[in-house]
Amino acid sequence: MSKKKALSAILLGLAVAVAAPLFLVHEAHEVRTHEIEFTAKKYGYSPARIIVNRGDTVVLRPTSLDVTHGFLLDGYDVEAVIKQQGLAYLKYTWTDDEGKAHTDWDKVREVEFTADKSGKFTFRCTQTCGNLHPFMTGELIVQDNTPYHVAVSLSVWLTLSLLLWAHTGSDSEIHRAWRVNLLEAVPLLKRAVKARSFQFLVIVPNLVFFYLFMLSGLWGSPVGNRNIAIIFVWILWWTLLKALMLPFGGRVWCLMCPLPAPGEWLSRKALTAVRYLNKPLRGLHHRFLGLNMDWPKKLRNIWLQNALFLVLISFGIILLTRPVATAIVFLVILAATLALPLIFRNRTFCLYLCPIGGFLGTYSMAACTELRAIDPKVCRNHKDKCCLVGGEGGWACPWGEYVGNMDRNNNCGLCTECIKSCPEDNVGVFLRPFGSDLNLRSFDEVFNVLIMLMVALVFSVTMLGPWDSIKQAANVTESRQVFLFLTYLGVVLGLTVVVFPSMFLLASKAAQILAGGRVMCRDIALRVAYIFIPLGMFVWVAFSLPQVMINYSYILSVLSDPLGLGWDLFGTAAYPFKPFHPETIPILQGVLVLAGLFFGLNRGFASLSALLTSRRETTRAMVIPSVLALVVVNVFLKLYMG
Amino acid sequence: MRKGVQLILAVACCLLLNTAGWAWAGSIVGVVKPQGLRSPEGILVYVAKAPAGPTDGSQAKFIMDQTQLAFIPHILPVLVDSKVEFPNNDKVAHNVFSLSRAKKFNLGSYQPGEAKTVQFDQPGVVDLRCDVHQEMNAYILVLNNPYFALTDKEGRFTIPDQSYLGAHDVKDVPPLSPGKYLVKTWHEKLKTAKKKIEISAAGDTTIVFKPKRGAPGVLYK
Repeated sequence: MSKKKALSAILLGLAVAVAAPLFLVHEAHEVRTHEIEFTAKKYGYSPARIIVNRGDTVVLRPTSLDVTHGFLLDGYDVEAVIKQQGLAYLKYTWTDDEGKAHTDWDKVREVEFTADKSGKFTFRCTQTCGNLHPFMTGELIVQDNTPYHVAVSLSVWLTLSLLLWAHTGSDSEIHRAWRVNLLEAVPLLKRAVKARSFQFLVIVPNLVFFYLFMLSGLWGSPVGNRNIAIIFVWILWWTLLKALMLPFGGRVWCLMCPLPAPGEWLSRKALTAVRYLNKPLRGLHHRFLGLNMDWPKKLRNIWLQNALFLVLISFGIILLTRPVATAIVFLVILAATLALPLIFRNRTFCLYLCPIGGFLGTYSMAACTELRAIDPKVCRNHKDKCCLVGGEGGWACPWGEYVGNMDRNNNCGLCTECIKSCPEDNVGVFLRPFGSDLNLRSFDEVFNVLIMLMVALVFSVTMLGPWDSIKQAANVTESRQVFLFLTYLGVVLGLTVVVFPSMFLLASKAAQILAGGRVMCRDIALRVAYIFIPLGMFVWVAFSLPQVMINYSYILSVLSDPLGLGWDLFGTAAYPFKPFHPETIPILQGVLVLAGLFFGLNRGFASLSALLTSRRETTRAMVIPSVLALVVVNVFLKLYMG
Repeated sequence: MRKGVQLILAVACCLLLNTAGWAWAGSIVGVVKPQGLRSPEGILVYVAKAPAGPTDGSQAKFIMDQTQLAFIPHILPVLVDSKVEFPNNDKVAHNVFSLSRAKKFNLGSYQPGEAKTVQFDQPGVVDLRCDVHQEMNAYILVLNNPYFALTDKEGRFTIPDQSYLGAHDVKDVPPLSPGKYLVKTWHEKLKTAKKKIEISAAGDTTIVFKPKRGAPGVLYK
């Protein structure tokens, strides 16, 4: 099939994909009134999902079974406070003659509204009712849920179209990547990163915040949404990390992370200066404080990071809602980052132990930024390799990387030491296309990519879903239901460690067979796994971004009262809880998940095509992994939009 | 048999003429369009000054229920000298009291299934509270004539409201005779709106009230 014909088929497919769900409207139905006995209790509603047809009237008779709860329905102007024994207060607003808006509450027994917009709408608690309050939600599904059906239809179209488009390309096409050296384009940036104090100055503000968060975590309000440690770390920082820093800057967070800094300064016995030895000590021109040992070779992988990440996410909902738990994790990390540099050289904690370091490495492969040699030949001809062993201008790469042969972002913490140490001025920071590093090298990295995707799913179900029983199971320190927690843990670990990796391996085996069987299954698996890097990144953004859209008001309030002591530093302590366009969240999530599918398949194809000899083989090899990705995407679409 | 039918028809005609005669003599109909309320339902519209009639409030029966931590109804207009029963149909004990000038009383704490009665002998607003449950609140509006009505969901009303009065054993309320009257509104969240009207013998008089958000005045000066 020629490219022209393929393009016509793809466009025709798009028209069908969009039009079909619009025409496949359910048969006309009578408008009904749904009278619902509606209960709220920590941390969910019953019924958790209300499914009605467009135009129906919903009459809720709300009551709380424990404490006072709220009810705020996204997309509809309905807000109530629910108390015990069937008592509720319904909010209404009005405007006076001067155009000033006012709010008041009416005591009611019923909350009535007409479901006149189709789609999925979340209702959420507005009264701080306990640890998991920010995750107390329910769902109103107004059928026909056209946005969801369009998204499902588009996911199928996207998969088929990418396979068709890939199939029609010619073997001679070579992916030509563009890149722009930011240090040349922005001289000011070059001057900044060349300065010895650059990283120190970037870290110091974060260090101040870090200690403030520690104080707040230990002695501030125990209520998560009133504590700056929880709001700034798990709402703001996490979203910034996933949505901005990783996709655009790779491991740029490692440049400014305050956790390993004190240990590094201690081992270097310097804050900014370089302590250079003319005679190298065990390969490096520096003598660090302590034992100057090297990390064991057998542990030079990210298996430990994967395991530690799984341990952390097993208690994820506790970590995310209990300030003291966050502070304790910080303290443990701080202790490790202070102790390890006194034993081992380089950033061993960041490379092999940091629970988030694993995915920072794998996901940074897709980032739009890279630090590389401007001309690798210059590196090859340079005898001293200052970037690796240290130079008078900069410390030896704390990450153990040699810029001359660096072709991936995984282990580059962007500390900029190599830029300073290179006497040839041959190191640049480049802008590049998304998803440029295509080679996963080992199964610890593959496993990391797979568990990250599944953890996004688990978090989405547990925290964003309307299922109270799952939240109770995960919230073991409050619910005290140990058996339920162990069951939850079994399901989570079974899914992340056994089920999905097994499905992936089967898909890889099928890809190997369809590709003709000439390439080893291991090599195919390493390439196919790349699909799940962009997909995982976008899914994490889809999970994280709504957290900010819903909870941004808490950011403003804890800014004025960081310790929860009743302060009002900037006059925003009492900023009301008001989600930012929450009705757009399902659509936004759908778009992000579909974008993840597009980039995942596109980049996965690029990764495979570098391994296989012909496009025909590559396309055949991509079929089953594409179906797996399509299934995963549809699970997320169902969760976010269905 | 034929005589029986004729008698029934004759009585029906008399009743019809009688009812129609009230309308001719002056029902007040209208609508209240309040500013700053979620619903225009439950606003009292009443004739502030009406000629003393034969209506005897002491025979009227009104009930202010207590269930699910609430007084029901929230606004109960009654006639002066009426007796209001306060049954406790809840699962917990309540203690109804009022500190209002129109009627001060305290019924003390009493258990579910029990009921107490109070007679309201002075016109005015009685603000009801429960000593046990802070959020419980209601109003009894003691009126000195039967020419009042509560608005429906659309804010409409008809004075006199024969169905309301009939349901509370206030019967034989004659229509307002032609003349000039002052009609007022009362709601806990609205400023009092008032209008002077003239009822003619020709038929209904229509009024539209647009009360604004604010504190209400007293019922009678």
